[in-house]
Amino acid sequence: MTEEERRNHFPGSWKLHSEDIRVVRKIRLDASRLRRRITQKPIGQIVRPAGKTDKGRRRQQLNRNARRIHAKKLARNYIRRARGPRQLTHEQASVEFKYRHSNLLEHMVSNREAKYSESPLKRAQKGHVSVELKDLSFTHNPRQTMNKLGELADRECDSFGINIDFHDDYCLDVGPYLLLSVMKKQMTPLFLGGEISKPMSKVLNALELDQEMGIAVPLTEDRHEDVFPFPVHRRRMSGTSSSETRFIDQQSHEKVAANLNEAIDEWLRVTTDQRLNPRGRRIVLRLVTETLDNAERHGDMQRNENDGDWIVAGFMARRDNDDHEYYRCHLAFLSTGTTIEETIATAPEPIATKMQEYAHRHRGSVGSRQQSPKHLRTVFAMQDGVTRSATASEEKRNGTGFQDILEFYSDLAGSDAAMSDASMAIVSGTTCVLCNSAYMHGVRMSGEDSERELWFNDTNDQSSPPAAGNVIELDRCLKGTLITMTFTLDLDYLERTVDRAN
Amino acid sequence: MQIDLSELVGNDGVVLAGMERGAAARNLFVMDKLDGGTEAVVVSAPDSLEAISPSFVQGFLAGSLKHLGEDGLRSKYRFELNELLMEDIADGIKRLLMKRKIAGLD
Repeated sequence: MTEEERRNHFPGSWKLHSEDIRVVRKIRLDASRLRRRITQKPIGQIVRPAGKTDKGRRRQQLNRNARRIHAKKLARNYIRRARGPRQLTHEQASVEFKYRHSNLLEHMVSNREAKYSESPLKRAQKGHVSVELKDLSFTHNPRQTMNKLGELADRECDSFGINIDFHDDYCLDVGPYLLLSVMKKQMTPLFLGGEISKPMSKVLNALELDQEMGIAVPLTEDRHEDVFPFPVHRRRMSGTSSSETRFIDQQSHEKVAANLNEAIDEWLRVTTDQRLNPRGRRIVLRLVTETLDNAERHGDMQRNENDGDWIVAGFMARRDNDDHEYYRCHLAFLSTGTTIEETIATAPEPIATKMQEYAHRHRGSVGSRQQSPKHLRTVFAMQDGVTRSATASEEKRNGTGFQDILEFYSDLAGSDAAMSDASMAIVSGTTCVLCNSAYMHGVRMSGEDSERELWFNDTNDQSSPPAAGNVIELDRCLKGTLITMTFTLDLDYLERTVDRAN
Repeated sequence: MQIDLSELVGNDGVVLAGMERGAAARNLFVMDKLDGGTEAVVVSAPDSLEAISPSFVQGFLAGSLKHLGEDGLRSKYRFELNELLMEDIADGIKRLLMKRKIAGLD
């Protein structure tokens, strides 16, 4: 790439958001007004009685001083409360390097606390480092993608400042950026800036992921042209549900699903003058609610069972390929807290024994010998009827969530998965399961009343091991579950399944 | 007897989802008691409702299916819903009746 081409492709650098600075200034102003109100107004109303003794005047002075100190304290608390968690500048953070515990990062970087505690002088010697984020896609390149994000977490422990260069020409998968936004919030603010391409700027801004990450990206005149966003939606923090009618009230995942339907309708109206028909809308509603309901129930099992949090975002992009226009869709769901393998490890009998048998039979077939049982347990957890709930198991219900998600996703991606380059990645712990081409969804192997099975092998049989290309070991652990999907919208399929707007 | 799902979704909700929500709805409409009675129960939904997830149906009807059996459930509960919602209910019941050999339960 020549220098001129490079300048054109990377129109500018992303920077730290200036929003925080404005907020702090406003709070300071409010606080000083509050301080004035408390200290001056009441004192102004006091009329000194005639002939007051020295002792009385001293007492009045003391009262005034006490009131001032009290006002100062109140104002200080007011500022602290309004500010929320303290936002450090790069310089302050570099000096302090105070260790911040993060469950997510702790599992991504081994011995994070020890690495963090090394001498700040070593950090200073290391200086500023650059991390290049390129080919970020869990659906097509899971191992390297996770390693890149892991490298970023490593640098947080040992560097003085970090430049992140977003070098992808297009956003290949929204999942890594969703994860990055959650990671960045939990890291020390050591980020300085970096290069970013035009299309990546457009996507991050349209999805409001730039705000999530606290960065300002350069935007050109065309802003969000060719990008149709479904901006970040998130559930409140896990463990904060207090309503007694929690499950009677409308659920946040139901609202998100309805919003996504509206967004897709808008995308289709603008691009093809079409809209989803009732059957298409139903697929989207069921896909989103099943996925997010799973995330809520299992997301943070150890601390807040049935009350996990999640974050979701997606977009459709119009792209050209040799005069052929096509639409690429991306959608990702992330919940942090518990991995699939950890969740299913608590399954009751006889599910636990069956799972153990499967893991034992194929040990070493995928990934390393040490991690292999975890990958196999994750595959087993995806089969119909497998649930961790003792009650559900006893009543023979549920345990169909994953296969439902895969079935609805296949419906959404269209008839020919290979043609639409559809791929879904389920990343959890050190396991990444890729559902694509032949292994898109489960199949009922023994008649209509049997379970849907997906064993990721040619015969779709649990007596054979899963394909190593579909069950992949990651070098870093994601303490949670990310489900990210991508597919090309099949316009012929769309013609068959959607209604004309007019 | 009537079960009106608009008590759950309101007049503009478009989807009902979640096993826990299905189980909570079951308690709200005291369906364990209804299962024991002789009266038929009509289940209706607002026009805005577009989908019911399989997990909701399982939480909602598992108890009745266990108590009444498939035929008993179908004769006791009359679903006055549109075609797509009827498919959703059927999908949920299908999952409840599914053989569970992989899990070692059948």
